[in-house]
Amino acid sequence: MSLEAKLARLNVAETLSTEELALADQWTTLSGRIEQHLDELNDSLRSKTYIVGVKPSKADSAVFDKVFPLASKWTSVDDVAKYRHILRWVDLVQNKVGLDNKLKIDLSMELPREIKE
Amino acid sequence: MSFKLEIAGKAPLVDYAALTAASFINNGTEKSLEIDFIDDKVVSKEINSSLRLVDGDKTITSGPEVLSHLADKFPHLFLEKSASEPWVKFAYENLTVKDFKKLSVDLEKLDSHLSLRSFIVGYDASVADIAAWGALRANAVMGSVLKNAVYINITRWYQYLESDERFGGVVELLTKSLAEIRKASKAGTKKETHKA
Repeated sequence: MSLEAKLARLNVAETLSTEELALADQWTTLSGRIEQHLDELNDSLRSKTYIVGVKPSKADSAVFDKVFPLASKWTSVDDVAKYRHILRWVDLVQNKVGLDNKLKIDLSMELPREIKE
Repeated sequence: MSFKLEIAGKAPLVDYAALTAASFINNGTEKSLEIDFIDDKVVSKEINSSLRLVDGDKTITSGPEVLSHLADKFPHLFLEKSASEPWVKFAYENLTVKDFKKLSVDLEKLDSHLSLRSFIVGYDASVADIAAWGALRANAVMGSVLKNAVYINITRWYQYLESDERFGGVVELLTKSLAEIRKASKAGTKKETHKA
């Protein structure tokens, strides 16, 4: 099954609030050039379980589709620490949709604690 | 057969985990677990506990044992029971501590555990999440800590669970039920006064 077909199985929320819709639109648009927005995505996922917050949406599929090939290259402790929130979310989505070739993420990796600014 | 959970609503540590477990049952099965709120610090004078589960001829008055019993009874609702066990112990023993200096050590541990995880165990809300969320919800020092996102991973995880009606809904249920009890008892007193 293709990645796209698998991602279609994400159990997306039926309704989104105006704010959630705006976030979903924003990230769906940015997914086209996600390489330039990885820091921003990581920051956003720091406080949100899914792209728009607490609800899974189509934006998760759109962004996942583009981020997944990049994330498979983040194996060093430095990269994992830098993109930890993206990786946490990648791991959630890949397990929710039951991806066949899951990205292996060492969940017990010791990461330096983030200090709140 | 009686199947009932009693919760002392004025306990210093209200057992939100047991309440959440009850709402998992009431939302996820045909069976319903009756919840009785008691406007006191303990469920009864004889039983020095903030909760009591009565299931047929079985009576349980310890939070972790209530979770364990319900998880055995409804394994499809309560995920990852055995992997959750150390976390249930951690929740009841460590996350209920009000001394922030002590508590902060364990919050750091939980925060670090949640840095690459969306849930404590696995990829859905499990018994471990119910116990830890319940302990933090009841802990009076946690309000501002969560709001200020001192532990960002804990705050993200906590807010996600709170948005789930089975978790967040119990807070309102408790407040509303206690208000109703108080109103009813006031009305009762008034009636009696009137009679006299």
